[in-house]
Amino acid sequence: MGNTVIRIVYLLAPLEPDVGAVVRERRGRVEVYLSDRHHTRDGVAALNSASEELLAAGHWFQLWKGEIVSIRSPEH
Amino acid sequence: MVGSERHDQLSRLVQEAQTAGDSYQDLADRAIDPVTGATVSKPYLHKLARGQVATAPGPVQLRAIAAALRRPAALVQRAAAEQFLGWVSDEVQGYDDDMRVIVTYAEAMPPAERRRLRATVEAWERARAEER
Repeated sequence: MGNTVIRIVYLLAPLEPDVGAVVRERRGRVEVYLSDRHHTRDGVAALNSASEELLAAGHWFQLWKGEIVSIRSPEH
Repeated sequence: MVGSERHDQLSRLVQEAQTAGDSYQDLADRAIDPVTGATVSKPYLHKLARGQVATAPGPVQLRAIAAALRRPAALVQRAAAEQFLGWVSDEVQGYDDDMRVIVTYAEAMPPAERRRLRATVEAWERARAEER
């Protein structure tokens, strides 16, 4: 994992009942804490919402087959 | 998109029972949890039908509501999850530039509790650090 520039870690956590997920984002590391109180269906919905907010900041870009791509690519 | 869907599935179940001929008193008379014997009041059922209940009913209340509606507990639980667990995500303000914290919370969470989110997250982080 020596060349890893981004690391994403998923963890279960005893969050408050009305909290579905907490995301802590630092340079090169994203920790995603999912509530251990909810079923998979609700956890997935919480994760989708958290991911949307995470990506909205535009802190990350990615290479796709050597080309920089983004969720707002003009080709799509 | 999260937040744009209508979340009133459990309220509609109560409304449907009323439309079918049950009064709120009829529903309240039957609203007894078969496990604990706990009850749900007539005013609570009325508020639930009108969408004026802000937080999700607990397991005991849900079983009592299922008994009131004469519907399977699993169906009532699913309706409650759909109504009360719409998720909204927001960044928690006040951290330094190197760190960003996003919290996903129930759409029905009251505004006062949303303002306390940072304290909630920090308390949880402290507890987690002490466990290490």
